[in-house]
Amino acid sequence: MMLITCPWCGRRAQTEFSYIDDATARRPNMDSVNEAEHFKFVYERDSRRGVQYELWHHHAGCGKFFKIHRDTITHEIHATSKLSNGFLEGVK
Amino acid sequence: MPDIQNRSAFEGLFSYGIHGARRGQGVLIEAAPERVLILAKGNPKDTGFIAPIQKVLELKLPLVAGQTNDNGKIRVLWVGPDRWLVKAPCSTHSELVFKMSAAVPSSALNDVTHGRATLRLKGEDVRNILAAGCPLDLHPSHFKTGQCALTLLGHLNIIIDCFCNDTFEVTVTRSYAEELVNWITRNAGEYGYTIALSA
Repeated sequence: MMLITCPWCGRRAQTEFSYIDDATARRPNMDSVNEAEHFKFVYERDSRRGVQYELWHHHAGCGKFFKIHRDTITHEIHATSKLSNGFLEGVK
Repeated sequence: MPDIQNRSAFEGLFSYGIHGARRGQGVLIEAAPERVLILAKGNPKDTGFIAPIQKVLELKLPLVAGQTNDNGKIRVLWVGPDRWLVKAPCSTHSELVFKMSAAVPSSALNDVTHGRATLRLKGEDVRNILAAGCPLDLHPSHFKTGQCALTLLGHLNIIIDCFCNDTFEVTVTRSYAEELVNWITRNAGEYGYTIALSA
């Protein structure tokens, strides 16, 4: 079982968490977005082999969302961080 | 006016007596004493929230994850970086709710007294029984007296509260009371358990 360090609660079992999304996905400007861009934002995600930034939710714990910098090959978690630390800074 | 009666969430769910294996002391299972439960949400850095609420409770809100503070009457559990669960005696119910909402009128206070069910488990095997379905490290050197956590027990979302080394309270949303009793008794059988009429 993977152990994930929640920035608030500390190290907890993976079963307490849910994967939410790619943390680098950006909502386009909804006033000027065209249908293709909107579709891309809602549905299209890369399936990376290697390190990526992810959003997770500690649903069975404090209920907070946070970001994880994780390797999808080794499952190694390089860092976890609160959303408030800027979006991707604080995660290295 | 309809006749409204206070009914325990565990009504009809207990089979009183001694069950399961007879080795060691086993565990004592009972409904926790009826208490007021209030969920308070606010910014821990906002003195306009922290100071007045601490004054009403006569207790400091724990700011460290998984900690509880207790003044012998009221107990406050850390349930999130901006959320606390207040456990207080029933005799203070309406007065406490009134005082808290008057002290922090713009904060979210939820009276969840009747929306939760709490079991109290006591005995030397409590940690072993809970460890069968709870992903936390429940070893006494790690999960100590005065600590609490929101976590899982089997598929149930629970709030676990360590009153003292061998006494725990497990809180679920009220409609899961039956599954909580089933889970605990199913897993306590190998150690032996006693279901007592609570005071």
